[in-house]
Amino acid sequence: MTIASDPEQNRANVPRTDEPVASSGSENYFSRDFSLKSWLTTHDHKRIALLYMASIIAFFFIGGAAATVIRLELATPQGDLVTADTYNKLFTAHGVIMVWMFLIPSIPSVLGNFLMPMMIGARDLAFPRLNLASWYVYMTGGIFTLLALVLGGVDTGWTFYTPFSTMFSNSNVILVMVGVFIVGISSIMTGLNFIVTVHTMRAPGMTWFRLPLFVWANYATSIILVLATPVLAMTLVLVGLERLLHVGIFDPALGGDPLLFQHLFWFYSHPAVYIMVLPAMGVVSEIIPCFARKRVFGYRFMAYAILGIAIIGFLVWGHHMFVSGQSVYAGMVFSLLSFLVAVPSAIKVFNWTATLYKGSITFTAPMLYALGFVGLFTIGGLTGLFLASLALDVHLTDTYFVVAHFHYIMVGGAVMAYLGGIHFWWPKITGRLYPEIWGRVAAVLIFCGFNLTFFPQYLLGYEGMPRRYHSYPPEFQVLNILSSAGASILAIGYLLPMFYLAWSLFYGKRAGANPWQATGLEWQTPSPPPKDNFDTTPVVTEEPYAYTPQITSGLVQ
Amino acid sequence: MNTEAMQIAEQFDSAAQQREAATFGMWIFLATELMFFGPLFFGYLYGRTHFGEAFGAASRHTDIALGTINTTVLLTSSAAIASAAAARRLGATRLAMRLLFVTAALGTLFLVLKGIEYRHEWQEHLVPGLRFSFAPQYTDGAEIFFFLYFVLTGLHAVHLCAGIVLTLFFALHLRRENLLFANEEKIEIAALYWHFVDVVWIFLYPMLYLIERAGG
Amino acid sequence: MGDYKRQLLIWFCLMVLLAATFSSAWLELGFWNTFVNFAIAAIKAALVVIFFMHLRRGSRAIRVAAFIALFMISLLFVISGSDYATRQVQSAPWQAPQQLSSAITVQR
Repeated sequence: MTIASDPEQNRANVPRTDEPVASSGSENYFSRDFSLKSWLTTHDHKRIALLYMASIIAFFFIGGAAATVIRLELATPQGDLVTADTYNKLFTAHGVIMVWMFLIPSIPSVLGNFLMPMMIGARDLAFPRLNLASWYVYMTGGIFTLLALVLGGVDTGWTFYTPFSTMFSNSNVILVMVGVFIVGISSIMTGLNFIVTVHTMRAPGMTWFRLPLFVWANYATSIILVLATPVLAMTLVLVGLERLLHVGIFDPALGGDPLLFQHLFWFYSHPAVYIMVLPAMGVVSEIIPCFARKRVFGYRFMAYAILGIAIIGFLVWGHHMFVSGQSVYAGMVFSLLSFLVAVPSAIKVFNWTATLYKGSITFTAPMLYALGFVGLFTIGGLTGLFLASLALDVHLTDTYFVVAHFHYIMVGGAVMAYLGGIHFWWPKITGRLYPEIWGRVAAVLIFCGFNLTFFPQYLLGYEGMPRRYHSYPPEFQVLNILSSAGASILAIGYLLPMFYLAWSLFYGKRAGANPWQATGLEWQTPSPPPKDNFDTTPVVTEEPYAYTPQITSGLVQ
Repeated sequence: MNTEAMQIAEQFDSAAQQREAATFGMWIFLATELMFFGPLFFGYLYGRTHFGEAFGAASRHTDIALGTINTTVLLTSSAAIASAAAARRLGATRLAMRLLFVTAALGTLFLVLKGIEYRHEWQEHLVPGLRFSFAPQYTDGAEIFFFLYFVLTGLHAVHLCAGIVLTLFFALHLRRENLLFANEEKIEIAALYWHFVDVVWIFLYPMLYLIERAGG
Repeated sequence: MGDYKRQLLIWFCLMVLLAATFSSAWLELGFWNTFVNFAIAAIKAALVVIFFMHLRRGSRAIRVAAFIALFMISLLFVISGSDYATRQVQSAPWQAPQQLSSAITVQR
């Protein structure tokens, strides 16, 4: 891995187009075969990443459509747009689709699949056929879930609490659970693949502490995926059996315990949120050093913090159950551990900030998304501490405060990081540059729309508006209208990239191998890369993020 | 050591790398399987602590004779497949093939005996949700016990079926002398899976058959 | 021949342990029955994992993976168990819910 020492070449704000590009004559992973069959039977991790990308975009907009109706309904205090039952089905659909069909696969299965082998200097993942199978399994699960929606929906909430889901709900619970079960299998397959790949297929010289933080993040995510998801799978099976046979361990009428379900469900679902946020942190750790032209501050601490988040994240699930009847003493333990899990997250925020300090910062679209992530994740994380305090949680639980908290992290954090990563690696994936102006406009729109949508929800929650209700007292209307207005801006912000990214595929400037002058093995290949990524296996001799900031007076735009 | 040539998949640089990846991959898969069974074990813990007497009464209704025979069968099958893998490594491919067939046969015997047990339990109205009936003071707990019993043993049986298919698959390849395909690495990995299924049963046996056997 | 001898030896140990757990179950030892059964099961499992599954031969990554899996499952048991162990349960008479779904009838 050699880094250009010429200060001229160190400016990342001017994408380079004069390097040798993959011309239409030479083959790359995309152009070598355009047939549908070659796409549907591919073993190439890069093509599989694009298959995933198409799928999650579709699911994102379906989940977003549900959110649109929700925000339209909530613009007025009365439940006048949809019935209460339909509203229940809408927020369930939104949650199920966004969590399992979009957020969990988004960064690992799209960006992770595309980049991980390249970042470690390998030709592909350890098990390419397993990779393709994981996409087919994901699509099968997705179709079952959509089927459940089309056939009338599910009204239990994405959390499927018992005994409502097992004994009293009249909706397609079993069908949607089959869908989620199948998608869970897909994510286990992906996680297994990543773990084995990182352990066994690193290029010579690529030691653990030379790995890009994106690899560390996906590795830790994969560990959570393989250990937590099976617990969810079995829990769903048990709920399904209880619903079918009216026997089981979750219904107090049968001698069971609803909290047993909640323990098992949250044992998965809390680590699941770290599945969603850790890869996002990995993306941000790639973008910030590049556009600050400075190595990551405290690389080892960043790596350890990633592992720390993954580990401690497994210990805190009871904070979803503070008011459910769980033992107060267990609640105290969970509260303390939840405070602890904030520590490695905070370390990461400090280190990103320290990376920016005295860097040469350019505000490209990826950088805007990454900076947005840092700010919004911080706010979301801090409000998590509010919720981790037992006494405060009694007041705030099941209110919009919780809704705002997790949307700040999932949307303000994970989705923004996903978009930032798509923009950052777009030249590598497609060989084209997106129009930078539009990239920045969309990023700013999304940031502003997001805050307008979700900040009022903190206030609403604090003032006592409960979640999952389609009507509310009239005094909450102003804040709800602000939120719905923000959602419309957010929607425009999300739609914009669809257009200009698609446009760039045909009319965008062709990109060179390394338009951002970034470090990392993936930038040493042509854009788009050839099928086997590297002509010869690279040998790694340098530490990661070997950027040097330059002091200039008056940066060129 | 086996000196046969190996097929190396194109993403790998060497046979050693491929073998390490495959073995590690199977261990990770087994870890996910352990976590998959986990909630059932926890549900059992819940039931055992909340319905101690009922669990004891229910456990006494399981067929300890068939259960113990089955445990013997499965432990023996583990020894068989371990020997098959050893034989394959030493190049004794006919022996390996026979031992794989023995393993599959023992696994099938297990399933047959389990089926007989299930039939008895069905006849005695011990299947929850399907005309279950038990002594009134223990009904709740006994129903939970048998719910877990059927889910645990049923899930185990499904995994055993997969193991039998896998074992037969390699046995047949050895019969047809596809030595390059049915190599040491693959048979070792299949054996890992089989041993895991055995380990699960090692715990299921005392959990389900031996509670308060001497009387409550 | 050495390898087959080992298989045989481990099989023999497993049979002995099975006999032990089976026969001890017929003795009335109260809590100790459970303890003995579980301990014997753990030893049997350890024999299978270490000798049949060649855990010692495996790379460090494999041994760590096996350990982490065990650790995770214990985590679920211990921490959730701590909730059950410290919960203060106050019994109340069973009240049937007011609204039952029309499609599902609870058979109790």
